Amino acid sequence: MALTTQDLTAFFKKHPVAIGCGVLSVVLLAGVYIRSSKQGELAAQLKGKEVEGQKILSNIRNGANLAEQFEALTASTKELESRLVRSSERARNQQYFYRIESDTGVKEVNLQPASSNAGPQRGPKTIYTGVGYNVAVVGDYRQILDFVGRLESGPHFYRLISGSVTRQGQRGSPESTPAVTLTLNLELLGLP
Amino acid sequence: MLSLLQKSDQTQGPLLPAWHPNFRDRERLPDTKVVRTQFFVNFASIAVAAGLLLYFCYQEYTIHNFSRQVADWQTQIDTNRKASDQALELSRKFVDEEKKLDELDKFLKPRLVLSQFLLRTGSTLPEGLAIDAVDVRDTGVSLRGTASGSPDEASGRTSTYIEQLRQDKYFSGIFEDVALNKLEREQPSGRLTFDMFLRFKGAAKK
Repeated sequence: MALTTQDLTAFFKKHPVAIGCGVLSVVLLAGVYIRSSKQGELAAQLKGKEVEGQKILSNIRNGANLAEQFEALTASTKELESRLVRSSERARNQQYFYRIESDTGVKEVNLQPASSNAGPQRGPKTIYTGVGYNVAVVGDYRQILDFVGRLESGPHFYRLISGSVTRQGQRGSPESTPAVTLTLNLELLGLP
Repeated sequence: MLSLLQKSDQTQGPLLPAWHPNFRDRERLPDTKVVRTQFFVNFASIAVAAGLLLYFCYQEYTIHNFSRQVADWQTQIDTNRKASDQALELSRKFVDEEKKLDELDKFLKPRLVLSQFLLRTGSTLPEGLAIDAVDVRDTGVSLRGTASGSPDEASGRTSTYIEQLRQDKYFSGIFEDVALNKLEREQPSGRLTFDMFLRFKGAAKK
């Protein structure tokens, strides 16, 4: 049985509402399908923007007092850097030890920059470096203690690597204050 | 109602051969059902179309809503970006400055403050014992000295001193162990010399 135009027209005339609704449904289905990808895209975009926005807000929140803190920190590091030695300024560095020597009354036996035979430094790159010295002085016990104390609390930052304190002379000798030799392998914090 | 039943019987057709010809044209006869089939078809198609229309509208509303929110966030991001970038830059500078203090802290973390150690050793040294040399090394401190008195007394003094060092709050706070490495008679004085080693906490054993 062939379907003629007349039959179709008659069918459309007989069910106009159903056919209209069917056509509308098909159009709407196509619309829903096409727009659903846009909805997904926007949802992902919104999520990204939310994360970015929250991060920016938290950056601002966390940085509320950062400027004052940074100022205080900079002042501290400036003070720190004023107390550093420079490995290149050998004369000035040795002058530091001579000054302590004359202040405490000990006698310098040896003062040499420590040779760095550690090779290239491993680990993360550092801003400061330890400027090494070998120091040997002789004095009585009090003078030696004074010398060590001044090194420990002096203007430059000091670190003891190794050292020895040795009593000189025979025990029971007539000398009232036996001489003591102090040998130190130390580092002063400095700039390379 | 009776006529409806009669109509129903008639539409089913006669079971027995009619006794006269049936000239009724069933196609042209009106649909006399209470609820017409057409109504159900229209109702279902309208319902489907309306449902889809609602869903489509809801979807469009959601899309519009998302677009608006994205635009809002973008505006907020654009407004705050400069302040955030400044805060981040300051934070980076802060971290760089902080590294300097960390390095200083690491540098100034000595295991031993020599002046304190010498003072404490001097003040706690028992009578009859004398320290001749103090050696500070990576792993600990070596103390060499002499003990006076008879060998019996001298060795007793030395072992008491070792115990005292182990019990002392200051020394036990820095050193893990105190060990006597050597105890021998010195010729020609006959005095007993000792060599003890105070191992730093966490240092490897020799």
